[in-house]
Order: sequence, then C-alpha cells, then structure tokens
Amino acid sequence: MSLISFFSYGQKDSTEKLLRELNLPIKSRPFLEVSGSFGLENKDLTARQLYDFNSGGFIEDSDKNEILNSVDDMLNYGYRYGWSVGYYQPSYDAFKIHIPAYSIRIYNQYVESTLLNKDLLSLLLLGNKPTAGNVLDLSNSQRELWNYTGIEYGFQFSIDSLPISAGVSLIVGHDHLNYKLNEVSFYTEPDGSFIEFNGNYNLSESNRTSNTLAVNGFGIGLSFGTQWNFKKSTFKLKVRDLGIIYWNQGFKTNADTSFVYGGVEAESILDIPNDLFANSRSQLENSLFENEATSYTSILPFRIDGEYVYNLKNKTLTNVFAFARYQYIASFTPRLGIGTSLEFNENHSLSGALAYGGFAGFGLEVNYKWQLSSYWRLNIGTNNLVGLALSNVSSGSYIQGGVSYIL
Amino acid sequence: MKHLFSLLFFLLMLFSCRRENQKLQWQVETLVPILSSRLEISDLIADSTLSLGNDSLYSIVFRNKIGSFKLDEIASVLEESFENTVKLNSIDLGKRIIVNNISLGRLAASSGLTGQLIIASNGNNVAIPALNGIGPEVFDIDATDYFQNITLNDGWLVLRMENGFPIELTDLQYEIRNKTSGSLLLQNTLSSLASSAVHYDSVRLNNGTIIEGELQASLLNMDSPGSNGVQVLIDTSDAISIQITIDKLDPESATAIFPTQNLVNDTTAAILDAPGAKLNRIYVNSGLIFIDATSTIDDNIFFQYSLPGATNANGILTFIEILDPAPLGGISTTYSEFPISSCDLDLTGPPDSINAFNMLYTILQGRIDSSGKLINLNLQDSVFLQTGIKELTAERGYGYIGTDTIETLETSEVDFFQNLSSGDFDFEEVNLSLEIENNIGAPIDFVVNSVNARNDNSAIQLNWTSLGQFLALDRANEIIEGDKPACGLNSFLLNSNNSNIDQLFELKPKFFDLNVSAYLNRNVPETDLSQFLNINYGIEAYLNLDIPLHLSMSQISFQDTSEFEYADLDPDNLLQSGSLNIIAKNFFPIDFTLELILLDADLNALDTLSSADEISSASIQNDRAFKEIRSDLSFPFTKEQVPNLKEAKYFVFKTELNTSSNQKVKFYSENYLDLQLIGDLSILTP
Repeated sequence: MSLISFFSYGQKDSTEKLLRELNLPIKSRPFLEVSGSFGLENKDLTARQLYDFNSGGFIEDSDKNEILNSVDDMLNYGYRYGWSVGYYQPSYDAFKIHIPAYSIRIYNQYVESTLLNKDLLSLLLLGNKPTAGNVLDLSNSQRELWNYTGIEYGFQFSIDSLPISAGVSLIVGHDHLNYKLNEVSFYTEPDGSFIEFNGNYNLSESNRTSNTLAVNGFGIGLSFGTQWNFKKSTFKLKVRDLGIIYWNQGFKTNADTSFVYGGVEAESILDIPNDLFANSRSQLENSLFENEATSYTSILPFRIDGEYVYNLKNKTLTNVFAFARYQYIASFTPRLGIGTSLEFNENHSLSGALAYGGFAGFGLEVNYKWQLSSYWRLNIGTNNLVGLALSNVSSGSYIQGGVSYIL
Repeated sequence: MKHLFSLLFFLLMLFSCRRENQKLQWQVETLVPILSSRLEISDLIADSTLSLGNDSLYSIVFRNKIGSFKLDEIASVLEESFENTVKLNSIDLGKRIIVNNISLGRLAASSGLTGQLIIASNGNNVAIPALNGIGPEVFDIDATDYFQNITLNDGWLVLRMENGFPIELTDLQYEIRNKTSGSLLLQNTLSSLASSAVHYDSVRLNNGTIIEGELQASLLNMDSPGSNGVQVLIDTSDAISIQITIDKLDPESATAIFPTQNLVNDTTAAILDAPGAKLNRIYVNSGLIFIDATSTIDDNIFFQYSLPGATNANGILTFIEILDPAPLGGISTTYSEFPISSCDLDLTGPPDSINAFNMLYTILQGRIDSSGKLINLNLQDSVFLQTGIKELTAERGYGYIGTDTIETLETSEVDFFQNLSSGDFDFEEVNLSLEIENNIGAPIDFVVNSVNARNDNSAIQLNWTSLGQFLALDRANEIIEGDKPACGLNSFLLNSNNSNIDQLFELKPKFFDLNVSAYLNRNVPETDLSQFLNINYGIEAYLNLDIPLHLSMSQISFQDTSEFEYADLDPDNLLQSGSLNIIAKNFFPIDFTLELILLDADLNALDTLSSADEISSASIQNDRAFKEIRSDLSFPFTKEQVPNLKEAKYFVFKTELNTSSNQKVKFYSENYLDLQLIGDLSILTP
C-alpha cells in the first residue's frame, strides 16, 4: 500500500458513525499492512512463453523460431516483485485541529527490465553462425536490474492548504546492473575467419553475489504526493522512490570500441603456450570492459503517477478516472488508461480500467477492495486480467495485493 | 573457445535472463576464429641451425660438438713431509765474561805495618819496600746473571790477569773454585808479573765439569821486591784486574739465560711427480703446508716456514708459528696448516740449482728469542719438527709439459632431427667439416679412428680418406694467463668426394660416436720450455654442417606435443559437437597433411582428429614457390568425441611434409604457411 492511499482509509464501524453524528472528535485507527506484488510482462510474447522463459529449462529450436517470429523489432521484458510491511496512522481532526498522518514501513523492490533488438535476440538464440555474412545491428538494447530494500518514514503536511504527503527512505542496495548498447554492430565472416565488432555501450554493475540480500550500496529515496479537488474533479500526483544509491566496489565501463578479431595470434602453431588463451581472453576482456573495481552512483527507478478523477453522484458508480504512469527504467513506456470505480456497499469496492503501455501492451486493470471485518481489510488487483486468465494469448500481467489489520 | 564466451557471449551474458536458481539454456551455433599463426621455415628447423644465403635460399648450418677431452692433471697431487729434530748440543750458550779487580788498598790493608804505611802514603811518591807473603786473598766472582750452573761436556775457562800496581809481583799463587761445591777449576803459580803486564791462563772444562754461577777466586800468595828504592806514586785504587771468560761451551745440562739464536734453518726440496715433463712453473690451484712441532724446551720457540718459489699478490708465501714453552718435565706441541691457493710456484729449485725442473723447496727457521730468564736445559731436551706439503694441485703448468696419449670414444647427441619422426629426404648437396680445437700449449697429432652415425634403427660408419692418418694440430697460445687460450684450430673438409658423409645425414642420426687418439708432443724435443697446460681447457671436436635447403622429401613427419587443459577453454562444459576448421594459405613448395592427436595424462592416445583434405603446395616454378594456394580443411568431431577432448591432457600436432613426385625444391626466406583455426561449434549457453 502506498503512502498516499492510506488517506482514504478510516474507521467505518458503528462507533465511528455514532461519534461523527454527535460531532465528537475521534482518532482514526492505525493499522498494520502487509502487501506484495509480482509482475512478468512484455509486449510480444505470451504469458506462457514468458513464464517458461523465466522459469528455466531448455529452449528448443521450435521455441526459438516462435519467439523470433513473435517479435517485430524489439523484445521488451519486465520482471518485478516487491513486498512491504508497515504501520500506518491515518490523519484525523480533533476539535477542528487536523492531526496529520504518519507511517513507517520496510519494503523491498526487485525489478528487471530488458529491451532486446531483434538482431541481438537472434544472435543470442541462434548463435552467430546462422547470421554469418550479415551485419547485425544490436543498437538500442538495454538490460537493467535493481534489488534494494528501504525503510521509509511517511508524514503529512500542507502548503497553502494543499495537502502534501511525503516519505523519506534509507535504502540498502543489494544488486544492480545496467547494460546499455547505444550503437553496436556485429559481423561474422561466412568462413569464420574473423568477427568485426563496433560498439558504443555503457555498462555498470554492482558487486554481484548469489546472496540476494548482500549489502552492496547505500542510498536515499524520497516520495511525495498531493491531490486537490475542484468541484467534482480530483487531481492526484504521486512520485515514488526518487533518489540515488551509491554502489561500492562495482564495475563501470563507457566504451566506444571497434575491432576485428581473428583468433589468438600464436607464435607457432607447433608450440602453443598453455596460457595463450587465458592471456588473450584477458586482453580481449580488457578491450571490452573496465575490469578495475570502482564505485558509482545510480538514480533509482522512480515512478510517477498522475490521475484525474471525476466524481459521480451515483452511489454505486462513484467515479470515472484517467491516469498516466511512468517508471524510469529501460523498456517501460508510459502507461495510459481510463476507468471507473464501483462501490457495491460499505465493504466492497471495485475499479476497472483499460490501459496501454508500461512493460506490456493493452491490459484490463482491475482492483478490488474488501472490508472483511472491523479489523481486517483486503485489496487485490492486476494490470491485465486477461493475462491471468488466458496465459497462452496474453502478454503477461502484474498483480498486487495487501492485507491490513486495523488496530 | 574461450573467446567464444568472451566475445560472442559477452552479449549473451549481458542479456540472458538467467538467475542462479533458474537456469535457462539453449544451444547455439557458433563460428569463432580460435587462433591464427604463421608457420615459417624457422618453426620447422631451429633458428640456430638456419642460415640465409645471399640469394635468400636457406641452408641448414649445424655445428655440433662431438667430442671434448681434457688432461685431468698437470702433475700428481703432491704430498710431501719433512722431519727435523733439534737437540740441545746445537744450542749456543754464548761467551760469558766476568771481570773483578783487587785494589792496592785492599791488599795493603791486610799486609800489616808495611801495608799501613802504603795506605798512608796514598798520593805520595814513596819508595815501596819489598813485600812478602801477601795473602791469601779470597774474593767472589758472581756469574749468576748468566747461569746458575752448567755441566759441560766441553768448554774453556780463560783467566786474564793484569798487574795494575806500580811494582812487580812475584811468586803469585792463585786458584779458582766453584764457591758452593769448592771444586777446583784452575790453580797456578806465577813467578813474576811486572807492573802493567798481562797474564793469561786457561783450563779446558770437559768430562762433566760443573761450573757454578758463583765462583771463588783466591790469591794464595803474592810477593814483591818493592820499588827497589825508587819512589813511585802510591795510588791505593790501582788494582790487579782479573777477567774470567767462559767460552765454547758444550753443555750437558744448564740452568742459564740463553741468548737469541736459531735452533733450525733448513732448506728442503721436493719433486713434483710429472713424468716426462720439465715444468719450471705451476699455478697452484689448491694445497696447504703444515708444521707439527713438539718441544721440551722451557721457552717460546718461533718458527717461520716459507716457500720462496711461491708468490702471490702479497709476495713470497711465508707463515709464522710460535710454540709455547714446555712445562717442567712436560712437552709443548703445536700443529698448524696454512692454505696455498691462487699462486705461482717456481719449480727451478733453490737458488744454487742448475737445470732443475719440477722442484720446489721450503725453508724452515726456528729460533729462541732471549727472554732474560733462567731456563733449565739438558741434553735430553729437544724440539721435534714435522713439516710438509699436502694435496698440492696445479691448474696450470708451464715448461715442457711432457708426452701423453689420449684414447677417447665420445658419443654426442644430435638434436637437429629430433622433431622428425619418419620419412626420407634427399639433399642436393651436403658440406661438412670436422673442426678440432686445441687449447693445450703444445702440438698434438691426432688420429680419427672411426665416426659412427646412428639412430634408433640403424647406423652408418663414416668412410673417409683421412681415417687412421696422423692429423697435425697446432698448439694454443696463452694471451692472458688463466684465460682461455687462443686455440690451435685445424679443419678438415668432408664431402661426397672424399667420404660418404651425405649418407650419414640422410640417416637422420640421433647420435655420433667418435673414436679419436690424440698424441701430445709427439716428436717434440724436451728443450721446448715455452709450453703450457691449463687443465680447464682441452681438445674439442666439432662437426660443421652446411646443407642448402634444396631437397626432395617424402613423408617427413614433424610433431610437437603441447600440454592441454580442456577446462581452460570450456570451463562450463558447454561444447556439444562441431568441427575445427583450418584455413591454410600455403607459400611453401611442399604439401602438408595435419593431424591432431589427443593424449591422456599417461600419454596414451585418446583420439585423433584428422581431415580428409591436405594443405596443397604453393604453385612451383623453377623449384621454388611463386604463388600462394589456399586450402580449407575440416576436422569434425561428434558429441561422442567431446569426452575425449575433456580427458585429454596433451595434444600432438603432427604434420607430414611431401614434395610432389620427388621433385627437389628450394626453401627461401619468403616461404610461409598461414594457418587459421576456426571453431564451428555447437555449444550450450552458459
């Protein structure tokens, strides 16, 4: 649950109602919330292909062809999951004094984003022999990975009656990489006698270990949001994880290189030194990468959400809305959508939207909130309902959910 | 293949979506250049054996030492010792002189009234009356500053008596005795001793005569006629001077202060065992001299041992040793060794020697320095000395170095053909010379008895017109002493006209056996003393080969074994199958066939990768390559053969060379074979 969303939560039991009717001050009840999210999305492949791709195994030639045939120009791919555990105190008024909300939570974000040029995808899946004789353009491909955990303190304040909610996070970085091929071409001579490589690329990578919770960097993140109402309209703006991480002992390469490789130059084929290949490999790697460990700073994959809500007077169809979302990460395109909200009764509400963009293409977004009791609350949603239902057709989806316990 | 992962799958590693617990794999077909190399003639034949002619035609120039022999010594190792015993009878006790005076005043005092008158007249001229019966007068003679007692086998006591009185003395009776024992040493009566006259008397002290340090002299009686009425000046200090000299002592025993003296001064010669040689000088490599001394003498004995003929940067080699005094009734010993090295040693003997060779000499001196203290000695006292030279070896010798005959059978390995495992070749021309270096400073005649070339399977004996003949070899000259001399060098040409040398080389020999007899100073007179021998340098024989690379060859096989570790190339075992392709661009006038043999750790063959094709010769014109020819070879291997690659620890790169139709072709510096190895491989992604 985001920092902003908990404005809308409050006690809705009979005691609260009674107190409100008596015009007596009441304190909004704080709550604990556990939430999680998981998403595996792209624009060209089906959810099933994505799942197979992500869960390991062996890719047969037929699968390769199917993948290649599915991709027009670029293959994008997004994989993300996260969790959050927090304590939230909503705002309330006491004798005309506004008591602002505050919260504290621990959260983790993992996100992989890949954008593959079709030539590069073909090279990776088939090898260079089938494409020998052709100049492969591998430009504009990128792969990015983030894994970090933060502890956030949220609070609320106003500027000229404009309510502002904000959060400050201290972040521990676990894993990061960002490989970006700007302009790269690759050519293999048909008889294999040489390979020509021309590349302008930027690579950065943290100290990577198998321990997914290893501490490899530290950072800070800011979140803030606001909303204002104008007649029946409400405008909302949220920015999350705007910050940086300083990575220790990583590797960073900014290269603009060009070479033709014709194999290791051996003095004599009759007497090949044992370390010839190792030395040559080292030279080649040095020409491709900066192998000196270094520290670097990277900007967090922040998110921006903007939403317009038009409130209706209908008790069931409560509003219609339009939104735009953006995340600062490779292969994520701005996602735009329109939708409506339904409130069936005090305990059940549902929103649905038709959206396009992000890691995937079109998707039917659905979010459902259920007040289970005076203490328990549930919300669940997806950005592509069809992706869950028809995995062989759709291009994947993102789901999120949370459980709140009201104290 | 590592490059396959480094370059091609550099991209793959960047973009694969694999996580550690979710391994996604697929197979890719790769075409990767693995290595490229240029094969030149120097890769087939060692650079050191190749020579480029003016026309850029290569020749094999091969110099192989086939024999080396040295004279192991100049002379036998010298071990020589000398003994010397110093007895007391050779000890000089010196001449001892004791002087005493008897004054007129002293005599007058014991001569009654007349004597008192003389004393009273001191300083006056008076007439001295006749005097009778003066004496006896006894006085001590103290020689204890020189000795306490001496028992003599022989010696002399000499008395000198001078009359210092102004009057004549008559009937002068005197004697000398040992004071303690009272034994009489000398007794005599002198009828007259004029004023100022000197009287000598002596006695031989022999047969065990003992002379004590405290003697007693007595004037038993003395008369005088007086001055016969003539007035004479009376001076009571006038005296009779008595001088006792003890000389030429041959002591049986003594307790005495001995004067500084030499006990021993011996010159001893030794001869080096160098049969037939007349050496006038050697350069000593190592050795030592020693002194072993035992003494019963109660005093320090100083030794100086020297080799006057031995000189180094510090001059003549001289060594000093001090033997401590022996305790009473005991002995004192010392043993010292002194190294001799890096020095010249003259061998022409002591200074008075004539025409002496091989002779060195030593001088030993031993002495007592007078310490001023009394020392007990007797005839049994002695100093026993043993001196000598040990393990003296020479590095160089000068003079006439003698005659010698060396019979030697030398076997030397020939590494030129070691990479050739089979096949035949036929050279257009072979030139060989037998070169012999003499580093000895004396002429040598040698005889080549036989030369044998052999490999594992067969052998060929050299036929040469000079076999069994005496071949003269000039002497060497030493430019700087100790350095390698300027050798005497003789060379003998062998070719197809005077030998079957080409057959020996076409055998591709691994060894040469050389049987040679060498005769040192054969028919050279002993009067040539300008010769030298340095045992570090001897005689060396070489074969010098010059073969123009104009030949035909058939199935000449080269091979080389290299270590191989598959994991270095494919650490993740990703290789599935494929082939190794070779693109060859040949500018040699010969065909090549290639084979790659995989060996396990025990050098057992695991598998052989071979190609159906061969590398074709360059186009040939006038026996030389003139146009490069490209050949493409493929060495396929199946998935079943991959385990053999993984197991292999060595690989043998084997190539076979052939010329077309036995045509003789020429090899020039321009020839090459460009090889490029390409992996056409099916591999799993990492």
